[in-house]
Amino acid sequence: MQHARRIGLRAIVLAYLAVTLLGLRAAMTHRVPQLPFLHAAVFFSYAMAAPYQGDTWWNGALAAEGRHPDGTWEAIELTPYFPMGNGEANARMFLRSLKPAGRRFAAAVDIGLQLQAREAEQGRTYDRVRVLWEEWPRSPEGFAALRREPYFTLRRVIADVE
Amino acid sequence: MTTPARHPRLERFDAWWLRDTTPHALALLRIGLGLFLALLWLTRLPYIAASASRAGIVLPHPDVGGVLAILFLPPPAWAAQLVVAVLVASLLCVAAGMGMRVAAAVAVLLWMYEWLLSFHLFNTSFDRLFPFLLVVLACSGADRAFSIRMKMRHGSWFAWEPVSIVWQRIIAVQIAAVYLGVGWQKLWLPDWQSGEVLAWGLVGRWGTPLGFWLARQNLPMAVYDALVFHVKLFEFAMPVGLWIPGWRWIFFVWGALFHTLIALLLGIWWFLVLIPAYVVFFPPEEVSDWLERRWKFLQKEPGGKR
Repeated sequence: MQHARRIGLRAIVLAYLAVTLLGLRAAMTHRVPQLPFLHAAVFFSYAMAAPYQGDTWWNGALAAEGRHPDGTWEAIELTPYFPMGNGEANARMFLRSLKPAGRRFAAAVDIGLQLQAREAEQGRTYDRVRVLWEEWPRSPEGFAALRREPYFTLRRVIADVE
Repeated sequence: MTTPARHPRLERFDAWWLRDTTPHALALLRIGLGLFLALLWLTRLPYIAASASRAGIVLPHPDVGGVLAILFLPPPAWAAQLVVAVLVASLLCVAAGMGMRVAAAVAVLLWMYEWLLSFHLFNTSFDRLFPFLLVVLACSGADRAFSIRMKMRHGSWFAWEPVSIVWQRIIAVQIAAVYLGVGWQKLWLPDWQSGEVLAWGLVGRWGTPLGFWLARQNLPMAVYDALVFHVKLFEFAMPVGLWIPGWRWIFFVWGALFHTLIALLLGIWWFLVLIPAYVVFFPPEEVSDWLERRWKFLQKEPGGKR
């Protein structure tokens, strides 16, 4: 029994080391083996060891606006839907876990529909909701210091739902 | 019948990876990690309704399909809060060493559920690292010291039973691998070849008021270049230095400083738990001897015997 236990533990150690080494290789090369179970294990190992790989000189965030039945548009405050800390709230908006990019646009439509429903539950009825993506330069004066015209470097509608 | 001779390398492998040892280092990690992770999920509780229930905006992971998709329909707010409350309770059970394996399994399953339902959007390394550590702890016998289990089995919180060192080794190697991966990557990642990545980082999504204040001091780029060099040096040296007996404490202090600065300047506080987790780099027998020298009432023999 002891012998079998020892063999089993050795196998676990060797399997763990192999996956970890492949994960470190993936961290260096961004290449993960394509075998089904091995891919998942190595990607998991790589993802444990690969935070903060880069950054940008700009900030980006989602915005939303809704159209009342009378045709007037107003901005929809997104903070209640992203009430976690600034870093997490903003990281979520980038939808990075959704790949390929097409899934992000589908998610933007989903966000628009859910916004419309949640706002209606609180008495704010919109017959149309637009979800926008905004980018602006970073500034030491604050995260959103330059989040306004004429500083936007990108501002476009990514979902439009009715 | 004589026992067949074993290869010397296999003997050394088994001695380093598999020998039976004292559980106190693992137990300290269990307590610290369990409490820290319970705190982490308590900080998520206030916004769980907005991020993981019908009261907010929920985007389950798109790879959840078929029958599983039913499990990931956004629940009512009260149910989302209940799930996190159960998760916190299970982590507290891990910390207390009460039903540790079941508690860790429940915590990991609920963590996976929350990740697939909502937290995949946050997409962090620690949301993978911490469940991994829980899985290893569940296998480790970390509840064989300083635990309710030992209190119930032997009548003392301080009784202990031997464990295999393999799980402590795996945790230590994993922590070292995290630093190694992060450090090695920075040698070639384009963004990390100058101090600009730190300068921009202070005024990005993660910047704290202190980070923004520091950015407004208009420090020369050479300062940020030096800081990036220091970060790379730290992350490259840590996976080695943590193992060297004479140098270990220097790296503990260096790691504590590094993670504290990240928490203060970028608000990324989740890796602070790595500081107490450095205990796994000590030989477990050393940890037990150190504790016995300070707490004379620690049981000298395993299984509750003096």
